[in-house]
Amino acid sequence: MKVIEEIVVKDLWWRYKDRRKWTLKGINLEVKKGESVGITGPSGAGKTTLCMAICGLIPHEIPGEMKGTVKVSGTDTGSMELRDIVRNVGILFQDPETQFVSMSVLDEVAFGLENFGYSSDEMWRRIEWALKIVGMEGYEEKHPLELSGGEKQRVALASILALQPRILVLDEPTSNLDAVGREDVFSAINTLKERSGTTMIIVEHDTEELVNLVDRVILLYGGELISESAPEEFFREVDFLKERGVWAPQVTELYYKLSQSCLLRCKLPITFDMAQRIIRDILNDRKISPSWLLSEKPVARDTLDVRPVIAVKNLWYTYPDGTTALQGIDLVIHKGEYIAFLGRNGSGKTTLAKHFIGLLKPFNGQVVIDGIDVRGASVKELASKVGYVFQNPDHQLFCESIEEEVGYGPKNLGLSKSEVKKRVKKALETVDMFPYREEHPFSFGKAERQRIAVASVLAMEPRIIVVDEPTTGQDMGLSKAMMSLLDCLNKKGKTIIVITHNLRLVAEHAKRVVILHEGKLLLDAPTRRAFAQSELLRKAHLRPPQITQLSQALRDIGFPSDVLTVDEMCNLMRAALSS
Amino acid sequence: MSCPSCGDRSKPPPGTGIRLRSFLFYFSPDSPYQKINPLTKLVMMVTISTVAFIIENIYANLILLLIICAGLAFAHISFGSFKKVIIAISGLLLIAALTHAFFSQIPGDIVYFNFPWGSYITERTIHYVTIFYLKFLAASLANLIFLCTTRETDLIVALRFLHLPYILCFMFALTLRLMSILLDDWWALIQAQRARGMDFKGSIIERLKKLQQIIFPLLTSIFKKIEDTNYAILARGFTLSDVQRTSIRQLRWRFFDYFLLTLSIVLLVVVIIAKYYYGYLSFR
Repeated sequence: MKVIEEIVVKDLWWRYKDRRKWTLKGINLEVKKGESVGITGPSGAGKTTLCMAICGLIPHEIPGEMKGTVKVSGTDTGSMELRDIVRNVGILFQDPETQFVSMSVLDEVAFGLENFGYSSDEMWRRIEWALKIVGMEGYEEKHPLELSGGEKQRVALASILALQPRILVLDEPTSNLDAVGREDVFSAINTLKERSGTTMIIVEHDTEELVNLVDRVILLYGGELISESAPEEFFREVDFLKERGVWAPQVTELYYKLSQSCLLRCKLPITFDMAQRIIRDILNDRKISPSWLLSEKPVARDTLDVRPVIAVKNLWYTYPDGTTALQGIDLVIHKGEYIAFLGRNGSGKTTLAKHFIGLLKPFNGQVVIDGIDVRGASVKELASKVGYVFQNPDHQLFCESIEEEVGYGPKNLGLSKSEVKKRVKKALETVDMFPYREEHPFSFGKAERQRIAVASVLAMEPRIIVVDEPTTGQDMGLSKAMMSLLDCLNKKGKTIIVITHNLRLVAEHAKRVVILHEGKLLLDAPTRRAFAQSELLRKAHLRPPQITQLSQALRDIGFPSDVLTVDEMCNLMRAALSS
Repeated sequence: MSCPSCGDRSKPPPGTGIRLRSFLFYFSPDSPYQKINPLTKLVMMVTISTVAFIIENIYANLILLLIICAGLAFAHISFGSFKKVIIAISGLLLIAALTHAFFSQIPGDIVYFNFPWGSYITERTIHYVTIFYLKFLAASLANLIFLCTTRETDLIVALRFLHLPYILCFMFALTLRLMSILLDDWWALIQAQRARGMDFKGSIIERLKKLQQIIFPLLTSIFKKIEDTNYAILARGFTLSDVQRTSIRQLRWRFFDYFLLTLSIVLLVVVIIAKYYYGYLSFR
């Protein structure tokens, strides 16, 4: 049978207008009809640019210089009208907020169909079908403000599906979502794959999900396609990928490490099920001895500073629209702790953290920061005690140079010029940005801008640093770099509070987790103990890291339920295999 | 059951049990106003506001206000949800009416008060200010009913029915959508700057200077979002060119709509004739 190539990218070069560097450098890619191809690579590798080229926005709408060709269903996109291309190629972007252009779900899904002049009956038929695929039936009259990020992204997917494109391009569709939103979107993509056989291009940093969805994976790095193979082959090169900012699934990493130490010689698993099967086969129903189990080393309370830096007592907060975001929170945080606030979107994590700097004042109850009741303190007063790094670094940056930017906070505190200069230098050195102090903050990528935002907070020398979603939309390499920076600050005695959805990073870095659910404190425990409580995590719509899930699945053969990292699991396996 | 979204197709009400979000508040899909089509509501709102401004007779104004209050009760919106809005509107109108009184020079038989700046209050001033208050209150409440019982999406359907250019209707819808995104960004920026020790205290000039620290990142963010939105709409076949477009929502005309439209127009015509031809309903 003749194989039909749905997408053919041939020697594609692309350079944005007014840029000297080529974003794409000689990309060659062929995608067969019905095939699912995953694209991965670090931030700035050109993944989104390639997606834009496949759906025709490049070169039709985005100015720049293009060499090479992109053919969709045999026709060169350069010679087609954009409307004709998008009828066949649907693209789902990262941000669910900016894609939602209508005032109700029904209008949103109908938007594309209306543009193409479909009849009313046909529109209703397609809308019903598309909403069913993404599991959003019954939401037709909902307003965008009533939808969560995950729901908005599913509506955006439905609005593309309603056009019934032959090719679907998904550009990091879950990077802005919480765990529940991610699961919902991935499940919708899976349903689509099973039912429609649509050709798919999926850009995704989360390789653990990607392996379940694609037939082939390609790696883009510095604008070049440097690796391309089936997932089983692709993720075998664990170190090669890690050096390029891509983290293989944890189970693959585990087996890779074991094979490096010659303890295992089997095909590297890429999925959870494969990994579990292999372990059971190897251990051959032997139960592992409890003596190999991990010894938990909880943070001894007596090593912590006795006086809490944050004391929250029966905190209640209700937003002006009547939403009660916090309900009777009690929490004590000591100096030098490294805590992660977890919970799904809207659980109250950010609301709670904003009380620490006085951006929100308690409705009922009390929040005391370093001996100061926030009710009677201004944000300015608290800013010298608590540094708050917002999710979007661009919300904090407005000065002409990095030096000026970082000095802005200390100046507001009324410090002398020499003191400001001293603090700016120290803060920039901490985040490794001192050599670039005279550059404009916006001449750097998002990761560097985030480091500048951290520096701008560090310069105010707070004892507590709150970092809100530092890893959202970042590749694993950059996320790890940010977490390492926080580790470094924690070692210097800062109290770190990180709000994140990335439980893999939490397991590797945070010592304690606080889980919020529907405005209530569901759990406050050391990370290891918290992640072992799978029932509670499920209730909070959280999914522990893949390696923790694996150890929990193997509890019947003696594995502990609180393994946090690949290295820990590796040690357990080593002990089991060498016995 | 039919679709509550004015669709002309029989369809179970989507999201049964949910409340619909209007411009201002949530309202029940079973509200009688939801059965009136948005164009009828728009015409009623415009005619009643116009009538409120035309009539200058305290009794006629009071009757109109009572009719509108009955309409408000008929809308099935709990008073609790909009009482703050009504109190705010009433307060603002009261201030406007009193300001008007302080600077008016309406002659009358009895002068109650003389102001040093030459204005004075007579029995006719009080009469006039009461009418002023009633007519603005009536118009505001008529608009409030409209905003409480109409969704943005319904208004766009009505505008499209009036054959307004599609691009204008679309821009209107998109602006409403972007406004909510803009507001979110605005608050995020204010909080981000306050977290770095900035306060908005000081003289107006100082405050304006501080505002630039919000405006720059706000513009950067909003331009980026507009660009993303632009790509998202182009990717779904939107074009400024003249192409044949359809609409998922159709206006449904019931007998009740014709009745209300006729009633509104007749009321407007009667009031215009009464005032400008026969001289009734004027301020004397």
